[in-house]
Amino acid sequence: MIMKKIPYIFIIFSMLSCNDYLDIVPDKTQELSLLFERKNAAYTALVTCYSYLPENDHLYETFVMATDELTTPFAKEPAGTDLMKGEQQSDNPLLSLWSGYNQYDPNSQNSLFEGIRACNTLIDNIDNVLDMSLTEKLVWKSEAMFLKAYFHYLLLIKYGPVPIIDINLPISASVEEVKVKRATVDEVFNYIINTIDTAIAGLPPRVINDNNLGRIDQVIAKSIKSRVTLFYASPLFNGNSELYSTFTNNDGVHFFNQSYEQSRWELAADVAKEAIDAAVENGIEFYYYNDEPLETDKRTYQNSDFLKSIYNNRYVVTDRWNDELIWGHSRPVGSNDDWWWQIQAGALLKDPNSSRVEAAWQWVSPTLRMAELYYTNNGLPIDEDITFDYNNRYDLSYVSSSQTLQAQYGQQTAKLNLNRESRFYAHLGFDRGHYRGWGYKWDLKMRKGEIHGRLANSNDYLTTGYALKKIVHPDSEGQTYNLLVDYPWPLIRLAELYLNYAESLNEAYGPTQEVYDALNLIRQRAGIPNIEESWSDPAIAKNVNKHTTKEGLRGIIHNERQIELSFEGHRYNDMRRWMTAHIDFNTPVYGWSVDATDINDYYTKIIVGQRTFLKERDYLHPIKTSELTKNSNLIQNPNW
Amino acid sequence: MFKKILYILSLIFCISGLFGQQHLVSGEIVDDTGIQLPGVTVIESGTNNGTVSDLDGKYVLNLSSKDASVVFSYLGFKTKTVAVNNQRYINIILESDVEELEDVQVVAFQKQKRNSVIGSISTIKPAELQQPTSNFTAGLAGKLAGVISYQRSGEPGQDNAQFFIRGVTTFGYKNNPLILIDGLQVTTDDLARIEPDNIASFSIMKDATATSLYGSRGANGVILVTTKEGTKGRAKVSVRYENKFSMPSKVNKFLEGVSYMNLYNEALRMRDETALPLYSRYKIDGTQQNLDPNLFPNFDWQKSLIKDYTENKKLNLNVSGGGEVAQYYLSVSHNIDNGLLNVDPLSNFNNNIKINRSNLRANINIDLTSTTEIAVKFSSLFERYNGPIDSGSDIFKSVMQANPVNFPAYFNNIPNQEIFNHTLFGNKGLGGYPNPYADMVKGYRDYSQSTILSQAQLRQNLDFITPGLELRAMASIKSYSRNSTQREYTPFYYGVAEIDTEQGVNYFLYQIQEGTEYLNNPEVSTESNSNTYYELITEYNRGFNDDKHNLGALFVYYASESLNTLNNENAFSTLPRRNMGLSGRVSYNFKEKYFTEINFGYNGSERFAEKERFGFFPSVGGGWMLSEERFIKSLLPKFTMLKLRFSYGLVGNDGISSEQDRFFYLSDVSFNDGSTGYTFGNDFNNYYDGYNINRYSNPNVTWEVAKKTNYGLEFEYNNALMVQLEYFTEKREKIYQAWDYIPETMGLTSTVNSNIGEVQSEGVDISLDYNKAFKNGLILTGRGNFTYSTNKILVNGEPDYPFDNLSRIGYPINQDWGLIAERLFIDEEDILNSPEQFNGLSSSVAGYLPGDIKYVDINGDGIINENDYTPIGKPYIPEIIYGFGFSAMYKNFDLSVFFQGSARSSFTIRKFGQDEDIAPFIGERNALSYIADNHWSVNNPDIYSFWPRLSTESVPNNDQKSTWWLRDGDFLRLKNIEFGYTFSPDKGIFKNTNTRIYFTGVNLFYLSKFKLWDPEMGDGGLGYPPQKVFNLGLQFNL
Repeated sequence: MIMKKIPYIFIIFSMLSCNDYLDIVPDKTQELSLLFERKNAAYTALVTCYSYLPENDHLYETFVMATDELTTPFAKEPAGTDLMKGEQQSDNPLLSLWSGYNQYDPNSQNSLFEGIRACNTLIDNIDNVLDMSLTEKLVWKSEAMFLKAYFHYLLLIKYGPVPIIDINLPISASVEEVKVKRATVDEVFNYIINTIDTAIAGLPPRVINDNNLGRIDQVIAKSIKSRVTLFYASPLFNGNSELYSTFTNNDGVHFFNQSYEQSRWELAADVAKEAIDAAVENGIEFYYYNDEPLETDKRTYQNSDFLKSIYNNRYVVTDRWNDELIWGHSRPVGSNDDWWWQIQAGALLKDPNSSRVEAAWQWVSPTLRMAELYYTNNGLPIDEDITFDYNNRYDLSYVSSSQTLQAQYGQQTAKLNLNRESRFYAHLGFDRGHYRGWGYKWDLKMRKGEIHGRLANSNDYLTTGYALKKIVHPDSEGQTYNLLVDYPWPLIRLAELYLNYAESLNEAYGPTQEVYDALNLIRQRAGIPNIEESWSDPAIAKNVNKHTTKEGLRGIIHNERQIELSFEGHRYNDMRRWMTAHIDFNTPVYGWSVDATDINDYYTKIIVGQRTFLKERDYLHPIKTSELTKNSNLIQNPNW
Repeated sequence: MFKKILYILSLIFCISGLFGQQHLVSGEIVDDTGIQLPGVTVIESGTNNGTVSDLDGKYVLNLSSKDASVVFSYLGFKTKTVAVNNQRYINIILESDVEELEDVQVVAFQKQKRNSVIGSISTIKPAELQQPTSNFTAGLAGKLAGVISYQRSGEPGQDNAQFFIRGVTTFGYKNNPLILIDGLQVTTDDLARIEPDNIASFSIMKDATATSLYGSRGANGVILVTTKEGTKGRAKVSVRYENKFSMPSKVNKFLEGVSYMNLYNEALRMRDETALPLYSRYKIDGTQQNLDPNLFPNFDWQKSLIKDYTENKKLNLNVSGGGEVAQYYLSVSHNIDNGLLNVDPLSNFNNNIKINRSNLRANINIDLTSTTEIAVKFSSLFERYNGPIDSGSDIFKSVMQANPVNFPAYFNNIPNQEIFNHTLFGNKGLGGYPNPYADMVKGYRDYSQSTILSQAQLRQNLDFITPGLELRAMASIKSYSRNSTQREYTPFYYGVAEIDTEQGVNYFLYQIQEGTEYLNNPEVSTESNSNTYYELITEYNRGFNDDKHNLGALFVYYASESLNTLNNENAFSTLPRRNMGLSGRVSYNFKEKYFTEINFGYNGSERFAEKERFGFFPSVGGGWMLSEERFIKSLLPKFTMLKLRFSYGLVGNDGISSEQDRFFYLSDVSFNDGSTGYTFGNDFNNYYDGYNINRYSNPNVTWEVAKKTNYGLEFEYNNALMVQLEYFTEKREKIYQAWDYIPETMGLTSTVNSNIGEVQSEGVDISLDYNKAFKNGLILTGRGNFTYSTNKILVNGEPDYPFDNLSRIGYPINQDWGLIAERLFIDEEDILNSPEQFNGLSSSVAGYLPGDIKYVDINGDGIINENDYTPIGKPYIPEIIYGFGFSAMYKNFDLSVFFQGSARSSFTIRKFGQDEDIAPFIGERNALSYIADNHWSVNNPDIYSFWPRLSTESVPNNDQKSTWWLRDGDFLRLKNIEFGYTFSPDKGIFKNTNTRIYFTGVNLFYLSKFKLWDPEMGDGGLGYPPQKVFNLGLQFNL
């Protein structure tokens, strides 16, 4: 019986066709080309390009922390602070835009080369999409083009010469093909400038749709081009025979051009002017606060230009999408609920009215150097103002009735904290000063054991005795992280264009009225006298008419730029392009004695940290050792 | 559960109460090596009255007279007749009859005569694998020649030992063997949970001839387990009960509060002379004087989390027997395993690990006709787990996370405590410090899982077509499911705040984190998978010409499918896995003297592109029974057996990458990837996901192939010593591997992989067995085995390194790379005169100081960096595993001792930057007391101290893999010692039974140069240690 059926069993088994049995993946499962069939899917490809933009508002990834502007307690180690301490190394580089980095956040920065590849992929494939118009395709392509150029720019200013990746190498590329070479600095600059030009032609003049804020337009592209040309003309990249006379490729060609070209400043000036014109044409203007002041300030506000200036400068960065912002990073850190990574969480003061333990960290503090950088109320540096008691600036002084907008009336604080320009009070908080936030104006008391001072043995404290206000939204609260108020981190704003313009004009043609005019727009908002007024008055200026010489004016422009763009991530790059970083980034960090309770002890200047920046090495970041191993055509930056 | 078992037990007692014959005789039958012989026919001479011995060689027979004679006969042994002479208890040693020896060996898909086996196969008697641990794999190390095995963790449920057949010979994804129970592929967990009492045979297959029939699945060797089947005869009952006390083989020691604080302050000053001490004199003094424990905690986290020992139980019951038509083997067993975690007295749920496991097995064979047999096998495993939310191992590790002085686990005896009905868990500052106790007790996780396996086999003798032909078919279904739930509450954290008052320091508790009073809703997850398998086998075996020529042939067709539902997976993981294939074997021997065999596997796997879907894996082998040659017999008369074997062939491996990473001919793109998403718009609400390429397609990806060669020599000396010697080489080719030469500038989001890797391996396995029965009844058995396996990478896609020391070519797969640590720096001058290390400047904050590690500039380029990494130490996975032991039986007593050793391995004691790192103080974490006793300090600048200059932060210079942290992993342990007593079956309550009680000790001690933790844990020394077990067992046969 059974035996007879056995042959049938055989037949059943053999009927299972082998390949059908093993072919189990349904069609259209996983192919990149599926992205470029419909507009909707293609949009993810566009978004991917944007996602590679570095996050400068990320506490652990920002370059804002990497300068002499800010410092943190010894135990806290954002990558930027580590960098400034001299902990950069080539095996596992900090804040490496080349190889990517990830200090804590798993979603952190990937290699910008991945971003460049994503841009190229979009440019190569967008024409395949069926349901998009040609104009729209051109806009997207131009956005990707711009981002690609911007990523090259970001790499260039950190690494100097970098490979130009204009087209993607195929996956099947051979071992030799993938070993790309570093192009010279000039080649990379020219590539970036040309690519931005191509992008400008295809971009809309200005993105105004509320839903699309953050996307690239002509004004943005032209503004970034202004910054690129400024770097192109700056000492680090223009005729740098001092540092890089022996830094050549394998053919003996210098990576850095060895002779200075004055004409680059002329180009930078032209490009800045073009950007300003485009911006102004599209309604971009200097920011002035136009909302209601705090209840407690209301009466004074009407009659005090000084207080108005404080408000203007307090909100200039944090007021969302304000008229001055040209390009804002429209994905604030924390939009994925990782609020605690925001740099403002680190800087935010704890709420004295709350009995709870807050989420605010209160350990990112401006250095004493920054406190000394801001002008006096005459619009002059503190050591150039005859009326300012520079030599005794650390001595104590009672706050008089005429200084009530600066600090708490009748209290004692250092002279350094009094009679300063409005930006000082808008950007920095200090012991016995004021702090506007969460709907109140509070009185800061920052000595040890006091309400804003260091609590016993707490590691969360302001090491220098200064608090940072500029990048903290006044409505951000610290009880829980989601009470932080997001704002688009400024990638470029109008004030910078005028500073770019002033700097390049002065370098190209020397002091002119146009330079003064550009700077005065900024000084006006800062509530200080015009440049000519401050510097020509022998009653206040030690160095009368400094602004009339090219060198003198250069110093003034640099100073103005450092104040106006402070804490926004410019200083690290500016000090390097001016080649002054090895001086300023190589000194101890100073602050008040925050572990003192006694007032006299507290106002003793002490060293609160160390910084290291080697002139021969640290102007350029190291390429990761493993990358050099993989690509023998790459040459490591000098002295790494 | 227990009640039921007792009920069944009592029932069985009733059934088997057959008393009333004239003379009862009983005893045990062993072979001349002391091993119990089941199935020996015992017949009263001249009558039909008889029985067979049970699985443990025991027999009981009722004789018609006390003067009768009894005949013991068994295939392969000389028949023995014994006059009873009024004896009640007769133990018998049967001598093997070499001429008649027809021993069989389980090989792939069939059984062969042991003599004719050419492949390399190690077999072990199941009794040798009996060990009082609930994890079967824990006992494999050192038991079988050819197995490299080690057990890193002793956590119940997570204590699978790693085991590899002939070592790890690939750096591809799957490197562990194929495991088959009754011909079905099962997981390591299934093997781990098998009941040793149910095993009839256990073999491992090592070379190409033994494994190439498994084609695409056999490259890493095969473990073959068969379960017991019933034999004709009356019902035989066997019960085993074990009660075990389990404790860590070694416990880590941590610093107590005062020393901790002093050392912490010292560490702080070591890096920053101006630093204020974190712990004030006031706090240290207060702690020393044991003042208020809320204010001056000195808390022993280890003691609060972990118990000294735990108790486990096991019961196994099986019944077998059968008649002419059907035979059965039924088994029920139950295990209770507990973890070592302390239970929180403050909540009513149990956080300790507790596993309840029930095993049920029924094997039934039915002789349908004289030529047709059907076998049905059914087995199910139910497991209930209860435990903490994190694994037990994480809880052991978490002791490192909290120091003794920051805060106690919870605050107690505080004013107004009655207003809180929750536990006041300790923390400090703004919170965020790990409180391991809160993490352990804040909730629990439980799961229930079941594995059900059913299998039907048909065996049809086709002698009517041609003699020696047989057809077999098998179908099987296995299903597995697991439901887990997890519930927890949010702990309330409190901190102590101090206020200076006129009266001195006062304190109050403040709330750091608001918790919940209730458990949250359970998080439920389900996992399940099902497997189906079919096979059809045609077998032909026949001797011709008076068995001068013996021919065998075997053809196997099989198809298998496995379906998974896993959580959180990609587009590929939910698609079924399928294999199908045709395999065959043709064997021929001449006069059982010259043997030859050809095998092949032709297998398909769903993973590959159409043109690569099938692979062909042939092998050939030959054997020569030298002892059958006349000249050998005269030359070497003491060699009762002497055989040479050789084999060569190919075996494949389709497990070249993970479940999620199959279908290599397709790219893997996530079209909705959050990590590449971006937001636009006024309110940042206009969010879009981006895409990410997880894998680039490659249609050429194919099987990994092992080319295996095996040389074997086996002999038996003087009927007492059995030796097997084997030497093997293997070349593993086409290992799926990433091209490492692709630089970042390519901008790829994943690696590009293809079949490029190659590894060459070789090794030796040796096994020795010695048996001796003495006239006075003493039986001695000695056993030893040794496995050595080493390998070197030939091709691995690495870039063209600028320095030779970086290349892995020529080094073992598991070789560690690191720096050579020379010593610690003596002083600043020493630092200045040495090459710069890691761009660190001795003057900068990030720099290194005297007392930090000084490295050797291996590549001689004047700086120390990643390019100075060089092979250090031995591989992580031991190259040598060995075991040896003896057992002795004398009268009613037996004793066995087994040692197991591991050699040629090394490990690093640091896991840099991880929670498991033993670096003290970082983030105010705990410190091992060993560091306090032996570290570099200004007063004791020993440049060879165990720990370099202390720090409260990680020191990049010292946190490098280097010989400084490398330790030898060699050890020798007393794996098992067992002492037993068998009650004579002729007295009192033991009448007619075979009852043995025994005491077992597992892992009682070990010898090793490494002193911190059990060296078998390797670099995971802070985890759940391997267990030392004391067991009391009772075995009862009827």
